[in-house]
Amino acid sequence: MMRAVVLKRIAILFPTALLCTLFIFGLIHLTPGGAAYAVAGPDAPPETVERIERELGLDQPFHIQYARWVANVVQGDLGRSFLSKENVVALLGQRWPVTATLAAEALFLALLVGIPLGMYAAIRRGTTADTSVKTVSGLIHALPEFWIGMLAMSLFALQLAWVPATGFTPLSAGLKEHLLSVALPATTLALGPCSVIVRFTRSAMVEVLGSSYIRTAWALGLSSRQIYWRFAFKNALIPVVTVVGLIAGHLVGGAVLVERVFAVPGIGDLLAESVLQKDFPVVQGAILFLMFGVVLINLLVDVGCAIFDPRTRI
Amino acid sequence: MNSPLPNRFAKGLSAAAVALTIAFGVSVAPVHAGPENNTLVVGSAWDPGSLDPAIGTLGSDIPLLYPMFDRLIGFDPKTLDPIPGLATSWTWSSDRKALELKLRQGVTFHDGTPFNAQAVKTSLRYFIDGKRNRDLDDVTEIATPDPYTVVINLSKPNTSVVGLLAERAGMIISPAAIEKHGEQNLGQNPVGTGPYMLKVLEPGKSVQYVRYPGYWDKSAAKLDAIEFRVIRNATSIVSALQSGQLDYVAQIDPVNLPVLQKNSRLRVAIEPTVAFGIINLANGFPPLNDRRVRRALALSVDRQVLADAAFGGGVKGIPASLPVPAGYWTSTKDLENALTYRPDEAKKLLAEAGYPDGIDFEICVVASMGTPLPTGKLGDIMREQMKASGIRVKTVQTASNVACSALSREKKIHTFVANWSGRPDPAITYAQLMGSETAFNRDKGKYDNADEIIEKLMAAPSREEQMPYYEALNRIWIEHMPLMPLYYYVNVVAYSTKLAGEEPNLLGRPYVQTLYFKK
Repeated sequence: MMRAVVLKRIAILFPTALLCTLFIFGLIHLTPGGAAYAVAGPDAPPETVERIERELGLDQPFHIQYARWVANVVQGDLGRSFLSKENVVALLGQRWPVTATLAAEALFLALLVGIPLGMYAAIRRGTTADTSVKTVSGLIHALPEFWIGMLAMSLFALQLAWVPATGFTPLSAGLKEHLLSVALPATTLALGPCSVIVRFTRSAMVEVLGSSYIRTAWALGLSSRQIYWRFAFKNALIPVVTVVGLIAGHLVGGAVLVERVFAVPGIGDLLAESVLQKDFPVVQGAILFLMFGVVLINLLVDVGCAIFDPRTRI
Repeated sequence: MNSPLPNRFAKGLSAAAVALTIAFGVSVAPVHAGPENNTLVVGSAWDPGSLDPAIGTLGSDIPLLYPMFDRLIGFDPKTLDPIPGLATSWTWSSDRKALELKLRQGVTFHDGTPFNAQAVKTSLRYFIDGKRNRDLDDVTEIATPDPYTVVINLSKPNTSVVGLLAERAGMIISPAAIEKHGEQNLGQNPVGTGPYMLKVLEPGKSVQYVRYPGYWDKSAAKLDAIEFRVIRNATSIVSALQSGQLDYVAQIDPVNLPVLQKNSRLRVAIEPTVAFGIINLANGFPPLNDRRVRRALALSVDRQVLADAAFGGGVKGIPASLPVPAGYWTSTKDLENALTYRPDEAKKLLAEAGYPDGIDFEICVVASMGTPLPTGKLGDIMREQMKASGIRVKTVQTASNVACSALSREKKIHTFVANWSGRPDPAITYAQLMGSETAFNRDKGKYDNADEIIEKLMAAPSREEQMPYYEALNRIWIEHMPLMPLYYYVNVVAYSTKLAGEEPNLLGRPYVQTLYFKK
């Protein structure tokens, strides 16, 4: 059954990729100004712009351009950046570990803080503690990431000088240096997902704690540790695991802003810049890559759900 | 339900908080790349476009090219007067159609290729044939009478070639690198004769250089390495500077001045430049093909208000009327404040031009971009100011300057906000902005007899002989308004107090290889 889940996901992946890239391709074509203008520069005469359009294949009809791009992708060639002439695969190869590390650390942080807080609020349901957790998580969810990032930078990097204001140090350069460099961006990126996890965990736990088998467990005199962790938490985990799949998309979107604010050279930053420059081999490559990432995470979530909840295997 | 577990949770959370504080909150000294390893870290808000001087077109790339590429002719940063570079001297033929350059000897490229007349010829030819930058379009032939002499022959007199050779065109590229990498790959493998050579190019992250041990001027390069670190967010770059991650940042948004000036570890300089903000006008179709309408537009804007909004309280905004700042040697005194806010006069001009009920027109702006004033805000202020003259402005928001420029080419918008970055030779500025055959004049509009005056200007050998031509061009500029000037830029620079060697540069471009750490 597990195999069927995986195969189904993979089968959906390809049409999704086609639709997604076609949509982005279309959007880029609809916006004014061609990449050839950006490549040629403000001084270039019309004949140079036309020559560059021919060289880049931009003089071809929309469907031909898209079909060529797809044909190249199938052969593993994502093309070259119009502007920097860098190979897109190489560019993504440099950037993806940065975004993946940042997103994974943000997710870890969100789960580390979000699950216990959600459980705590559910157990203390109706108390001041519960209300406080709900209010704060709601507030954090409503605040824009770049704004929180700017405030955090001002306080922790400039006033307290605990962490560097910008940049990214890879793990290979040392654990301490790496943790210091990602402290602000990862925490900023984690805040939104963390508030979602708190709320999902809380509501799932509240529901489970009100169920008859938990009442029976209390009546049987089982310890609170056994009831909360063994019976309640395991059952409450299913919706939490599901929400991780949704959060993956949020992390990708958030990375675009957070990477920009903290000068983290990841895919989000690359994507934002390429969109502005209409550098669509890079835009398409990055979108494709991110989409595969999100789909892969959702696949892992489905598999995870199947492990935690045998009902989903049927 | 009152079990001991919630308390355990609380304790657990406290423990996690402590652990996180230990992991993330360890106090560290700011990361200063500076004196300790003699590496200068410069903050750059722009990602490198192309490090090929001939093929790249972005003005923001030029500071990244300076450390690697000596130019044939240099310029004094304070006056923009030409000074020797890779050419030690130059002379014009009597008809100003041939420029003879005597080249410096004992110079080698970073790849070991010797620098000589043939290398210059190859590089200039590569620049011309690339057709991205049109600076040397007047060149008909490049002769190399001996290994250290180059003669550039022109189709018509053009003394501004000296100034052009102090820019991209004069950045000499290794002929071996041109042959090996070509147009496709030279941008990633640039090879010049400059004091620093490229070590690492990481688009979106940094450009790193190391000192070139074979540099001809042993006293020139005092740093071991230079890194341009890309931080695109304007606020983040200032934060990185304040926290000590960067040693030097130029072209800072002036709104940051109060914060920077309070920082005892930083020195702040406000440097005048010849660059200015402009509204690019599509002069090829109604209503802007009528000079009275263009002049009416110019008189409908209160430039002082715009300039003050742009620069905030820390810097006095300087409204622009002419293509050069007041007091500059090509300026004309009585025209320096010719474009004051006169909405009534603007109304009359519009009526004379056949628009008694005013006009509707669009300004293309980039939603949130632009320094010192985001162009979207600039459009909003102008819209309100122009109402008094009967001009109804619609701002068209786009994502990038590329889109605005393209909309203008396609005649879908009347105007867009742009910058003129200035040139070492003011003749280039006048010729590019007022000549009918330049790329900046897309509609080939003619402004009175500006073409003939520019031709005479280009053939005039000295400043004294050039002055009457500049004055005539200034008068045509005010009457015909080929472009609408807004305000002159100042370059706000902030750098570590441990640094010395900062030289104000009238072009406003960081020229960081003169910097060094004090002993």
